[in-house]
Amino acid sequence: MEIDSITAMESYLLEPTRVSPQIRFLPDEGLLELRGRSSPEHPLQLYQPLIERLDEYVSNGSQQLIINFELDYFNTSSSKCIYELLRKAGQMYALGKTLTVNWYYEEDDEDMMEQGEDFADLLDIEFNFKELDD
Amino acid sequence: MLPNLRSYKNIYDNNIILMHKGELTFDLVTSLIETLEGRINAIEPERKVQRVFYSVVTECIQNLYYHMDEVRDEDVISTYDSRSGLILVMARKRFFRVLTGNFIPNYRIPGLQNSLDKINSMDYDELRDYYKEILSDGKYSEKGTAGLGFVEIAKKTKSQLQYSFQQITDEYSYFTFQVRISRVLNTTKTKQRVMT
Repeated sequence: MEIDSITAMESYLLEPTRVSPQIRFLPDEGLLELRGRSSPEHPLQLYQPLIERLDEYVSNGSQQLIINFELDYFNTSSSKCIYELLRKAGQMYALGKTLTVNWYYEEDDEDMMEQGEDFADLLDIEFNFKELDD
Repeated sequence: MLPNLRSYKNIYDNNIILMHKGELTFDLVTSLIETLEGRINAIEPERKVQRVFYSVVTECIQNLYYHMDEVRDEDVISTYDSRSGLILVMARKRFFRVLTGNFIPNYRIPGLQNSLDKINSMDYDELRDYYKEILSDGKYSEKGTAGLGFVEIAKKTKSQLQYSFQQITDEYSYFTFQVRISRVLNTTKTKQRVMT
């Protein structure tokens, strides 16, 4: 028998800084949340550990994943990492699992909504767009 | 000599909101962006304009920072100048202007110029497609940047990227980059040609 590695996966939590968002990845709950701003000096260093954990989560046979994106701002080098993150999450589809992406944006922030549309379009993932009231 | 009252007044008339010339560390970059955010939120009431401004200055200043280390010839350009970046942000009634300046090796000019001209020739939808194309190409620069900065600036400002190269030595030129952020809300996604 294989050890149930799904329950063995630990949470991955990062507090926000001036240039990086709060990150909460809770494998037990099938939940990933990003909140705040992202413009770090080395985006790959920030996102690579998260992408690797997500990879492990997806290949573990996890049944569902909910991603809550609540970023007010991310710079262009972060956007490439976010793309990779979502691409990884998108593999849930191919494995016949459930993926929910909630894309939050500030009221009237069409640019942020469009960013989400572009990710959704490129990766063929369905996004739930949610406008935040101030 | 007495301070020139006229030029003093010009500084106020031109509403310089930030001016920096010197070395840049990442911490300083972050502080400059935070300072600009505070000032813009105080003088610009429109949230949409604030957001575009924040995004554009972040890309401009971070971009400058990532390209500071490309000049090494300390005999030709003084150490201070060669590693020095220039940032100037001005507020006018109808627009903000962001200007950056830095030395670059001459061999980088053709590539940079091609890239800027290509971006300037695109309308909003083309920029959006181009952005998506680069986003999904899986490539990063050595510094981990995405090569999307100028595309984003053009997309957000919906205006032309202005630039010039001034040759200083056989090896180096001075690169000046300038962009305008309109303070007049335009709901249509068309890019405007700005002449200066």
